[in-house]
Amino acid sequence: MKTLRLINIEKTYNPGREWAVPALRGISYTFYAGKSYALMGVSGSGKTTLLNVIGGLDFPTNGQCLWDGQDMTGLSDSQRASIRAKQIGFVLQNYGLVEDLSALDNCIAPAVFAGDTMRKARHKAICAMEQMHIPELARRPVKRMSGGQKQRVAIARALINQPG
Amino acid sequence: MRKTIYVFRQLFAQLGTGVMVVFMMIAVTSYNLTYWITIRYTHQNILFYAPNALQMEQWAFLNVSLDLLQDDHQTTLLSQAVNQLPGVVQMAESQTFYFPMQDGRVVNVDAYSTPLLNALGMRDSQGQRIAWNASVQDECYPVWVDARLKDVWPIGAAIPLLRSAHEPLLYPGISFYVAGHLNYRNAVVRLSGMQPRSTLEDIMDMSGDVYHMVTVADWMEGLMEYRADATITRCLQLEGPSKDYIKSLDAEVRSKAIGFCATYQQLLDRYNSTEEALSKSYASTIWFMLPMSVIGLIGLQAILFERLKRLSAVLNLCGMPRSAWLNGWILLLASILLVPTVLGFWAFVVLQRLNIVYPLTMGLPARIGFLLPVGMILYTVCFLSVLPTIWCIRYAKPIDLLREADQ
Repeated sequence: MKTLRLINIEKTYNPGREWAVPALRGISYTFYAGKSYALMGVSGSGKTTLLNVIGGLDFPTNGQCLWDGQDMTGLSDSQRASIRAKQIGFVLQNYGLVEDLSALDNCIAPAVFAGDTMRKARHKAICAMEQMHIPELARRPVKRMSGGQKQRVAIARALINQPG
Repeated sequence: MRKTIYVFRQLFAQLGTGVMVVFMMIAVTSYNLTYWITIRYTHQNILFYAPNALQMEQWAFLNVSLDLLQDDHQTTLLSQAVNQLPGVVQMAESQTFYFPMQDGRVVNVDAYSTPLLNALGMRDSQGQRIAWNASVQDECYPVWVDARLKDVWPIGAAIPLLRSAHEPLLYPGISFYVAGHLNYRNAVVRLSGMQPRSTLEDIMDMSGDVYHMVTVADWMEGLMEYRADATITRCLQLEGPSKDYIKSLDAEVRSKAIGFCATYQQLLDRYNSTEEALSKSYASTIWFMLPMSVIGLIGLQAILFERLKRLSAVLNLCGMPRSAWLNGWILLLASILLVPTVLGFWAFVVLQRLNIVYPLTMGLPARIGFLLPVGMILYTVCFLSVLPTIWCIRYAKPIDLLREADQ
């Protein structure tokens, strides 16, 4: 079973300065594929920071983030981007979609960056959108969608490479 | 490569067709707008244009011949040119000026230099110098009026310029005698471009007012056959004439809507004043264009920056590698650079074909020399203005999206 293992993750913003802000302190946990987890906390407790570190979008000050045994913190930008494309699906609160592009164009991005051909990526995107019951929205620009539809597109994009 | 193309496509789509068009237009404009504005608003100033002014001596000889150009390509070309430039029109690669007449006909005016005419000698078949008496009376040189070839050479007479068949023609001025454009099978052939070393065979079978030139060898490529239907109806020679005389002649010519007569100095003055007007126009154009371009670019860049920053962050979130991003940008920039260059070149060629640009650019290296650096500067500004955007977007991270979402 694939795992995501956090070992003593620490993250401090502006380290070494007077106004340094410690956001994460010694987080250690193991996530298992196929299970659902909810990260809860008050505002400013470091939820986003932890997700950033897990997603390879930010570096921890200390500690390790192991994706199936592979340490994210030691990887290059490109390698982390590759992991993001293949193993992580992001669904943001504001959807994180490119408004001017169609739903299909938004969805195929992770597949293309994961190395699929355009034809295969398009096929996978259509499948993911069918899974979300929005195949008819494929050609519609995101900016002309409702909030719920955007959310589905974002989920379809997150699922296209079957992360985890 | 797939990733690069995908990123390029998204970049292109993100920029939007409208933005791209505007961007390209700015670049194209930097090449062509100056030309266009100048031509559009200053051509009225151009009455005379002396392309080879430096080769001319201190006076101009205007050989005005009335050619009725009918149903041929050149007529069409002339009509277009006349319609576009309601002043004098200079045809490409010639020293001929064309004046539109009130009745729709076109008059051409050839300019010749003193040495050429002196060299021609203009002698008749008996070897007598004819109609070229360089006597000066009150600063007024004699003027040919309605001199016709039949008055000069009897029908069937040998052409004094021709030593014998197959020998080189010594002078390039044969067109002076056969008067400009010749109609041949509805195609107009101009003989004034004849090379000095051309060889003539069986030249001139003259009967009445029609002059037949049978064969010209070694002109251009191979044998060419011409039939001359043109007649010199009016020849004007002006060398240092008095002002009154010029005025009277000018009035006469103007009254007949033939054209204008001028000394070389007048031509030169007109030419210089036109040059000055054009330069001022260029300067004002540039001063107008430069700030407008810069302001437009800053605004455009601000819009692009926001859009591209978000695109960068989203694609990065989706796993876009840096190489694809940079390659996509390079591809995009290459296309941005290439398209206006091609368009600019194409537009320039079209303008030339329409005979719009050519009269203003022919023989004017100084003007082109002035235009090109300005165009290149604007073009470079357009191009370089994108670089800061790229630089900024390079640092756009997907984490910004998460922060944005978190807020």
